[in-house]
Amino acid sequence: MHDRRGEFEAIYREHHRRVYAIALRFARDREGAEEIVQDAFVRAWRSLPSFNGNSRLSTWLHSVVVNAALDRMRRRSRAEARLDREVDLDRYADEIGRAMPAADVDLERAVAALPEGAREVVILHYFEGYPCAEIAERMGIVEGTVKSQLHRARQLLKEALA
Amino acid sequence: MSDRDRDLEARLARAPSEAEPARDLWPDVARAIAAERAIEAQPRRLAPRLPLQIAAALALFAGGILVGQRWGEPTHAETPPPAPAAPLAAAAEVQRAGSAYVSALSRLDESAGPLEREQGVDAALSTLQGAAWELVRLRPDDPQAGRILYTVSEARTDGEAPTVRF
Repeated sequence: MHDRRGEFEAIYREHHRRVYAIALRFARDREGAEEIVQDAFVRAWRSLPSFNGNSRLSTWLHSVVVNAALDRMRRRSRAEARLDREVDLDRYADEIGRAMPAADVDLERAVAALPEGAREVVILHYFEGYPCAEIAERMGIVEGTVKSQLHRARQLLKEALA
Repeated sequence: MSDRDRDLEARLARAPSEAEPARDLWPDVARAIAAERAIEAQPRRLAPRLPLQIAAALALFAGGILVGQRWGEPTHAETPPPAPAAPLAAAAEVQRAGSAYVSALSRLDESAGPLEREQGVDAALSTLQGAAWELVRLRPDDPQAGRILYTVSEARTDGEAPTVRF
């Protein structure tokens, strides 16, 4: 078991920055991002034996973390709606500046301020490179909705960055 | 496509794909995996009975508080055990916090409206989950602690298989 754990730690070390970037953009705060990272790697550990090697490990892990982030968003949306909790965008911008020194902080902040559905499709499409059809499948919505969310997001981003 | 569109697309395309966490998260991941293995080793129930499980978890939590109470506040009839002061103070602190928790929950049922009650239950489960985590952390090999954590975590995820967090 220790050998397997050692191998898994090597996987973690190689991929954790990529995973943290996705997690941070979804969660918009450090603590939430850390939760997603942990959740994603626990899920990966759990399902690693079933990884069949047909895709690259990084692609598979990427899919695991996106699922973990989307699941968390669904759970948090319900809880946050009940508690009426606001996201602290200043704090998020600070964390982006620290964790991604090369990031365009104004752009990241504008994306973080998008309405929920639009924000998720922007992250998946522009930052993670998913085609609209796959985003639709993952989010359980129709492709046309993804495209209209992207269109709306682009308009809002242009206004915010003007 | 306008210049503004092109500019936006270019800025989005340049966004970095990696970010450095503020701390090493591997120890948390490793602990979560270890706890996951401990939980997996527990016998799984056949049908979900969340209210009963929550009640059982609360009873166990309250039981722990009572034990802490006995440690922290010996009766006049008892001779205080010759233990160092620090552990007694720790038990008393746990007992005080636990009593406040239980009292707040009982007040919730008496005075809160439906929305407040739901928020209160959400907060109560969150606190209970935090307490269960601490139990697992303190006693990583205790199957009862693992079972409490699993039950409370499941309650917080609306019956979905819970994920272990640190």
